[in-house]
Amino acid sequence: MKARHRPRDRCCGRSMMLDVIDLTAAYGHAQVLHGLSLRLEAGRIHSLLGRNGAGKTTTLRRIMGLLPHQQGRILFAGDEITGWPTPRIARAGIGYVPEGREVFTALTVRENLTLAGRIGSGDWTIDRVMQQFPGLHPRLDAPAAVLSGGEQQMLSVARALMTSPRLLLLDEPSEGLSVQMTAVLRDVLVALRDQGMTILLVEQDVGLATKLADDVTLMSRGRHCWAGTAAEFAQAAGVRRRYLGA
Amino acid sequence: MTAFWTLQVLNALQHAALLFLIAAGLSVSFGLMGFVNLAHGALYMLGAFIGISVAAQTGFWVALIAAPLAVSAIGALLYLCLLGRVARLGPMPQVLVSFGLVFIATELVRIVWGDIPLVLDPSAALAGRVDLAGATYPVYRLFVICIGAAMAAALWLGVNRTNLGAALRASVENPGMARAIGIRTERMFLLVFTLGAGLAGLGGVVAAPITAANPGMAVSALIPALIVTVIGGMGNIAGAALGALIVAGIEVFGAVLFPAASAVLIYAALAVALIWRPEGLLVAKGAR
Repeated sequence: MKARHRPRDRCCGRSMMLDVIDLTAAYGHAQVLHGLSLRLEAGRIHSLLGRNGAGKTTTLRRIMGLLPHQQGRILFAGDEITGWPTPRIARAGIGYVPEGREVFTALTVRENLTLAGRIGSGDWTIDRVMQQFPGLHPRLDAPAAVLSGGEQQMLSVARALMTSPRLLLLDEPSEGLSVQMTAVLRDVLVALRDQGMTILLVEQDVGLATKLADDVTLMSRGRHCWAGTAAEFAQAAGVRRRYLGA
Repeated sequence: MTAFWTLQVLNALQHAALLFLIAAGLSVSFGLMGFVNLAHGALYMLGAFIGISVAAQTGFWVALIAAPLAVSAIGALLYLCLLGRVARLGPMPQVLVSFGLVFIATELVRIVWGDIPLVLDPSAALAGRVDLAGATYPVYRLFVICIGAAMAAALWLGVNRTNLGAALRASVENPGMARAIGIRTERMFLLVFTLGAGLAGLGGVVAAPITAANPGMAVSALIPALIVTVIGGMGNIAGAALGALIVAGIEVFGAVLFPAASAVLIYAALAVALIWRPEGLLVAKGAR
């Protein structure tokens, strides 16, 4: 029986939503994460930035339990969730919007949402997510396969919300979105943060990512290399140039 | 002449109904878990023999319910103890272990029930023949057609119109993402496996009055069921139903129209299907 850890639950007066400590991960023999640490304060948008191949997507998949556990620890709202199976992690309150949307195309929009809502606390209903994404409302009974890419992305976010998460992981949500759709998404994320949700955002569009973020972690080659607030990141031109080439 | 063709159509439907009951579980566990479960033929055989033993004690109707339930339980036990682990190991261990189970089950049946084919007497209510479009047809065979059709309809509704069915379709399409929204896919696997075993058991007990139960039936039923799965496309009920109709149609009408070639026709159809649509006629969306 492992002792349940509740360390540093309240650090510096702020509560931690996610604490990732020295995490490693691999696809087969290809080691992708080499000891990543990441701390998310509750109720804030946290951008995880890095070049292609830095391990951002792998980090999210690993937090979700979609890759085999190797080393390191993951604490979620003070609970040790290291090594938990994916459904249990989802039920504990982590919502996941994967890269490439991955909506269930064999299901209707409504089925996609209802299915995710089965584990929700009921905070999020179809009516409530439709208020966030009114564009999806007329498509509720359409198969998800016929939605446009932008609509599928909205559905993917809406589906994650239906699980009533406390922490939302988003992987490249603006990819392939029109300017208008990106604006809708940005407003939704800000509104969610203002309602108290914690958001971990992986985003290729550094402009969008930094505009939205309260905090930033930079990673390179499977490790964190810089962390700070968005304001500090804006000042750190040298760091941006070195790790993002921007 | 019309009567003759009516009979052939009914024969094809009756044969398709049995094939569907065996192939449905095979197809869905194939689509959901990527599991080639050759032991499915053995579950079908056990359904027939258990049905015969139960019917001898309590009559046909009890056997019709009890045999599928017993075979479901055996299927669930096999899955929990053995096949669930093997399913994760890839095709070669799956084929070796599940085919090994066929041999074990066949020997066990020989020991318990003997080598002589056994016939199950259906209920008196299902005896006799009825007139249909100039032909007379056994009532029992019509009953088999009805059971096959009812099961196909019930399964189709269950998969396509219920929450559980939606969870199943989501798990077939993208197991990782299904887990990420909290679906416990391992429970899904167990449920599908148990249900598929029950259907095979139902197929066995329903077939027993038509084709006498014998220890060779595990293998002889397996081959056409695999062909149904390959032709129809894995992982979906409609595909299994369509595949069963095609294979049964080829077998019945092939025997009438081209008696000399009848034995090879379904293999020819299999070859054509593999060349024309190797993924099957109907494929569950996103199934890999």
